[in-house]
Amino acid sequence: MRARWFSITVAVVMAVVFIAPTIVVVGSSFSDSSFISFPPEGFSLRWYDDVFGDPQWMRAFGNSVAVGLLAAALAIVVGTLLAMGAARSRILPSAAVTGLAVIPIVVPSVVLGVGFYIVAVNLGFTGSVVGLALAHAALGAPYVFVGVLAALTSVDRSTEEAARVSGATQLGAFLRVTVPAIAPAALVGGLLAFITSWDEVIVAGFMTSPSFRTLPVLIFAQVRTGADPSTSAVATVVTVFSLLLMLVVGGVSALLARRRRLAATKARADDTATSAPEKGSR
Amino acid sequence: MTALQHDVADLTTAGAAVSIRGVSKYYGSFAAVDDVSLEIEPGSFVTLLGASGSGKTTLLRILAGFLDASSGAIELDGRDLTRVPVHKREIGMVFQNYALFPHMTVQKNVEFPLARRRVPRADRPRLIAEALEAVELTGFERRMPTELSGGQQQRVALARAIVAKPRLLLMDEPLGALDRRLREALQVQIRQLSHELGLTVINVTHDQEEALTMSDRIALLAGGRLVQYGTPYELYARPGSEVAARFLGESNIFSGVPRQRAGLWEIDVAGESVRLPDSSTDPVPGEQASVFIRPHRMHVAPAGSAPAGEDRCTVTGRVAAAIYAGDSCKLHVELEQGDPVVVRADSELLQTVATGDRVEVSWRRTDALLLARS
Repeated sequence: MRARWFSITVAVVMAVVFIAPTIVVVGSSFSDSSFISFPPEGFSLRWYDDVFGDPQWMRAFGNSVAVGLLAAALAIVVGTLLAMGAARSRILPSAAVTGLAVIPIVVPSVVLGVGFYIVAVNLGFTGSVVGLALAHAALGAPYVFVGVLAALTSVDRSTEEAARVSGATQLGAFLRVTVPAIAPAALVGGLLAFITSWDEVIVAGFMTSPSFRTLPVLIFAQVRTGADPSTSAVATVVTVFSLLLMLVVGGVSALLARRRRLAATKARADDTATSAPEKGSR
Repeated sequence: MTALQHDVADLTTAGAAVSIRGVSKYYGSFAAVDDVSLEIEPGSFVTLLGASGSGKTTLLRILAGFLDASSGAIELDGRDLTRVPVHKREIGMVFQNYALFPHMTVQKNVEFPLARRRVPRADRPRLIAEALEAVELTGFERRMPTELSGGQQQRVALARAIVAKPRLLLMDEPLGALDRRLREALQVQIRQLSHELGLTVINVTHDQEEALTMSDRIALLAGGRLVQYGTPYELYARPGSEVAARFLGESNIFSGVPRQRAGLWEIDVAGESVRLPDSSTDPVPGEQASVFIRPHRMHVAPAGSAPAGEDRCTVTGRVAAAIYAGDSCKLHVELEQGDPVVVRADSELLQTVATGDRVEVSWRRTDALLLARS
C-alpha cells in the first residue's frame, strides 16, 4: 500500500511540474493587467484582441502554417521513399538507410541549424518559406519514416506480387496496393512533422529574418525584449493548435486500432463457425 | 464444409499444357533449381514436393514470372513464356499468407484481376458471384480481409485466383498457415474445384500427405533436382530411389552387397541372409544395393512365433521403444547388427509385445523393393 501511495504522489508531482507552465501561460493570457502575472488580475480578452488585430502576429501565423504544411508534405515524400529503401532495397543495407533516416532526431538541433544556415546562405534560401520548410522537412521525415517502415513490414511483399499476377504492372501494383496500405501511416507521420515544425524554434532561429518570422521565433523575440500578456495569448493559441492536432493523430490511431480489434473478434467468431464439422455450406 | 455442388460452368476453361524444359536457376555457382524438366498435362493437378531448399518454390516463382530462369524454357500450350512479364501471363496464383489486398473488401479483391484485364464492367458482378459461390463465400462480399478467418481468407484468395478464368493456377503452400482440420477440408475443396473447372494446377508443398491426397502427379524435388515424377501411387509404392523412399512416408532401408546363391540374390541384414525381391533389374554384382520395406508391411511377433514360409524373410531383434498412437502403434526394433527398423502395426500388438522383448520381424518378400542407387 505504501508503495502505491508513493507512486501516486510521484505521479501527481510530475503532472504538476509538466502542466504548471502551461497553466501559468494560459492563465496570464486572460489577465487584465499589462504585465504577465499569475494568478491573473481580473479577466479580459483584450490580449487576444491585440494579437488577432496585429499584422505582425498574423504574418507569423501565416508563415508558420505555410512552412508547416510544406515541411509535412516534403517529409511525407522523403520519409516514405527512405522507408521503401530500408524495407526493400537490395543495394543498400537496411540498417544504413535507417541510420541515415533518423540522423535528424539524433543530431542536436543547434548543429543542424548551423548546417542548414550555411547551406541556405550559399543558396540564397534564408528568410524564405522554402528554405525553412526544407530544414523542417528533414526534422519531420524520421516520423514518417518510422511509421511507414512499420506499415511496410506489415504489408507483405506477396500482396504486390498477387496484384502483378492479377494483371497489374509493377507500378500499378505499387500504386493500387502498397500506397493505400501505407497512406495512413504516412499521413500520421506528416501530422507529427507539421507539429514538429509548428513549435520548432532553434533551427527556425537560424533560418528566419526580421521580415520572415514564424510564431515560435516571434514569441521568443518578444519574450527577450520584454513580454506583455499578448505573448501569453499567442502561446496559448499555439498550444491549443498543437493539442488539437495531437488529438487528431490520437483519434485516428485509436480508430484504426478499434477497427482492427473489432475485425479480429468477428473473424474469431467465424472461425469457430467454419470449423464446426456439421456446418453445411452457406 | 460440404462437397461442391454448384454450377461453375461459366468459370470452366480448358487447362493449359505446361512444359518445363531444362530449367535451371543459379545464384552465383549455387543451383537452386538444377536442370528440371517436366511435362504437365492439361487439366492435371501436379504437386512440386520437397523439403525447404529443394527448389520447389524457386521453380514456382519462375513459372509465375517473378524470377528469371538462368537457362531452360517454359511453355504454356506451346507458347514460350520466357519473355512474357508477370502481368501478361494470365495465370492465377494463391500465396501461403493469402496476400489479400488489406484495404479492399472481398468484392474488390475478387474484382481486381477482372479490372486489370479490362473485363467489361457489366460482366464483372456475375463472375465475382460465381467465383465466391465456388469457394462457398457468397454473402461475404462486403467484409474486409481482417474480418475473415484464415480459412476464409484463403478461399477469397482462391476466388481471386480463378475469377479471371486462368488456364493455369499456381499455389505456393496454400494451406501451410491453416490448422489441420481446416487444411484437410480445403484440400478436398480445392481438389474438387480444380477438377470441375478443368484447370491445370501446380501446387507447391512440403507436406507429403497433402501431395499424396491432392495430386494427379507429384514431382519430387531435392537439392534443386527432380528426383522422381509420377503418380502418388508410383512415388509411394515404387519409389525410384532412396531419396524418394525416405521422403515419402516412413521406410526401412537395408543396404548391402548382394551375392548370388542358387540363382537367387541375397544380402545380409542383421547377420541373416535375406533374399532380395524379384525385380526387373538385377543388382550389379559387387556393388551396394538397397532394399526398402514400408513399416506397415512388416510384421512383429514374439520370438519364435513369426509366421514362416518360403515367401517370407525374418530377422530377430529387441524392442527399443513402443509408441502408442491411437489406432496404430510404432515399434523401434534394434537388430543385432545395423540400423534399427521401424514397424507400424495395429495398436492391439502392444497387448503382447512390450519394450525390451525379443521379437521376430518378418515381411513378405514381394513387399520389399530393390532401390536404384542415387
